[in-house]
Amino acid sequence: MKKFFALSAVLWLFTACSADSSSDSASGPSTGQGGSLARFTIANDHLFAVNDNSLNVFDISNPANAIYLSKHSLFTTVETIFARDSNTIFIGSTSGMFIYDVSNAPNVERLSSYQHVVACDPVVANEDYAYVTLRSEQNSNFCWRSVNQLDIIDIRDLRNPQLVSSFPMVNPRGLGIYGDTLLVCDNGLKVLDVSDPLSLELLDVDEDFDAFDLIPYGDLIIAVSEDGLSQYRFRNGKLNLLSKL
Amino acid sequence: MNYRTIPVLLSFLLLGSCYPQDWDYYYPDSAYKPILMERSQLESSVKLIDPQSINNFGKIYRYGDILFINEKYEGIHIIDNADPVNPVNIGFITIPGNIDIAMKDGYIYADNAVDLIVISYDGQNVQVVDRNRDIFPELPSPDGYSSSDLDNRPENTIIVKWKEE
Repeated sequence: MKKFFALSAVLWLFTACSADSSSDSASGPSTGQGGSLARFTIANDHLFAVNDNSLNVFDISNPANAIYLSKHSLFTTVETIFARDSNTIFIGSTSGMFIYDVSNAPNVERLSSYQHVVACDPVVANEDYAYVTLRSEQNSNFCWRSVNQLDIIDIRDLRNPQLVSSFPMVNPRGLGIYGDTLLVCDNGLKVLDVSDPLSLELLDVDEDFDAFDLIPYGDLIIAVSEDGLSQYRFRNGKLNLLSKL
Repeated sequence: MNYRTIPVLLSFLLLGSCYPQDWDYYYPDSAYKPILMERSQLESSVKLIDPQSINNFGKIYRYGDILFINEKYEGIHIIDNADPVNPVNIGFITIPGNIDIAMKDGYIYADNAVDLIVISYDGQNVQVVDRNRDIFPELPSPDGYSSSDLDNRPENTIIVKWKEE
């Protein structure tokens, strides 16, 4: 048994250096990809599940066996979790965004938090920026007295996130980032050029599909609404509808 | 009673006035009613069945060319998405109380109400290969109510969904 642990530790060190993404690679799927409203995500050999006000960590180095390792209280209502890379997760809560270093899971280190008014907010991020939608929801006890907007936060220093800009939204839900393009579910599916975080440009919008979340997979956009699924090919700033389900 | 207890009682009264409505009062306001399932039934209900029509689109998850669509509280639809122009609904995995999934190396991690389960899926069969019991708190109602003081609740039951009254 000791040998097994030593071996897994060595393997872990190797994989920790080589792993770079939570989504799958060209060599075939190892882990999948959820939308921005997901509460489960996988980074390295750990499954992270947020709910209520906790972050739960499971060891899945043997994928058939999820070993419950730890529970971290976040003292706020947690909504979503996003693994930007194998070391860094972003948590969207009703009171703000948290950035965690999970490279030493089950020990997790909170690098920073970005606080805002009470709202419901999924978050996605790339190397430089995090994108958070804040939404007021009439029929919820959790998301009240707030605003509808998109915040762009400079995260080049993960320990010191800085608000760069805010843009008014109608009723924003899930979102996804694809290069310099941000897709936002906001009374339809909106495509925004975010190459300049101070000045967004609306490239396209599908107003007929009231999406609440999406998965960008290369230039394929998979979006879901309360009553359907739409898939688009994204080319030259435009959404080309492929199918509806 | 002595004089020392009076400020204590008074403070309780003052605190109480901040919360004029207790759960007994609140609860009937929920537009939803909890549906209970016995634990033994919960643990034997994960199955792969024929494709079902999608009525209540929940969260989505992509694994290779497979797309999973959660049917809120019921389980996950399996969509063959090798050709996104023509996605094909190929099956359904019943998972009572399910909202979220993630997947790695052919294994699906899912919330089965309060449990976290691991399901092996090879395209043909599903099997629950691991179960962590009582990890998650019970499902809250969609309008934010909890079930903590449900009256006359049968033993060994778990909330698997909330139904609009």
